[in-house]
Amino acid sequence: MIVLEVALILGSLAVGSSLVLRRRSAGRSSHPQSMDAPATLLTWAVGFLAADREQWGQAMLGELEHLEQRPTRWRFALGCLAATLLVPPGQGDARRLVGALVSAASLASAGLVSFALLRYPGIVTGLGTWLALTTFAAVLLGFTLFALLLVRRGAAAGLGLACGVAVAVVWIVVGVTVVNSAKARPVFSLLLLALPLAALVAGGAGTWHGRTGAAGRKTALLTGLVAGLVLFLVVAASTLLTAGGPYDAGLVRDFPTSGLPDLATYAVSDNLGTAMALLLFASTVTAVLGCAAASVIARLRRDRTAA
Amino acid sequence: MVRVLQALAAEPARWRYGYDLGVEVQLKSGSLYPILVRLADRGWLEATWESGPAGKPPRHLYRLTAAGREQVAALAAVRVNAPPTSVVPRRQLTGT
Repeated sequence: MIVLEVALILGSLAVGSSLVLRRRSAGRSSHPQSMDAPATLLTWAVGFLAADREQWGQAMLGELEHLEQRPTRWRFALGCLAATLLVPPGQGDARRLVGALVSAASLASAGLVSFALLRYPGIVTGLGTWLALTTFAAVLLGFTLFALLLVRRGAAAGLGLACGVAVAVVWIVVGVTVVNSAKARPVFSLLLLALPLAALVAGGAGTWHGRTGAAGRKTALLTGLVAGLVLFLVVAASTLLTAGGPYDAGLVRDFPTSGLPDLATYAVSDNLGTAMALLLFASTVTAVLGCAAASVIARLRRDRTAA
Repeated sequence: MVRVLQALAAEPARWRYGYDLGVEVQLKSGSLYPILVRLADRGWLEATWESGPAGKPPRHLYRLTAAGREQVAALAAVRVNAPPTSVVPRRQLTGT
């Protein structure tokens, strides 16, 4: 009896499986063209396109299905495979990415300051400190909302992000070089000219990319916000990593009159204050000069076109 | 990109298939589609779908928008107004 039951079960499974397989193979054979190797390759490749580029993938697949010759289909599919890698990312993706990055940078900035307060509680010396921290939180919130607004209003998100990071790198490299070497070699002070120059280039790039002064100004503003946040993150993170060191002679000299419990607390407090000032100063300088450059270049373009 | 713009501007009202356009401007699909995407992003190209025959998927069609036609016209004007450069025949440059 047991043998009979097992045979019945296995037989049922075999019949069921064969029916399913037959149905699947019948489904495949009704679309023989769509399942050849070029179509399979292209279907796989367009799967990697961003969501807002999906229709371009469908366009490539649709076009392929109207090509009859096998070599032509292969050439077209291989070309489209390259195209899926070369298609620029959609603005939608870049906007979401920049919005997420700016929000994350603001949260990280707030996190670093919170960590500093926990690690060095002596930083809080009274109402003035709390006022400064509240202002800082308001600035971070303002930066985030303004960046999200700019991105929604059509600022070139990817370009603004790239320019912002580049401007921050210029500020860091120039700052470190000038602080460490300008006393010994005053000529290094000339590197400070790179700071406004970077902002001007960012504004110009915004106008060149967006073709209008308004587009360039939006990009310049976004560049300023990103540059300020990146600069703050780098300075604040390095401060916490090194406990505010290395301590220079001026810091050691001024520490006794600071009223803070130890040199590390004083150095961290001092550096965080510098980072907050840089957040505002670098952003403002970059945004103002960038907007000016964007307007001037747009004007020059108009004049040249009119001429 | 200029070749694609010019080809589309030759008959601006006509909708073109991607493959045919590529053949016309001698661009492979790997070069053509990124150009079409950029043109569409700039608002110079409009696209529509044409429902295919039974069993075939719909096909994408392209033509210039008004902004795209203006861009081609501006491009042509710039070329006309550009100061003449010393044109050296290609044969002389390549030495053939």
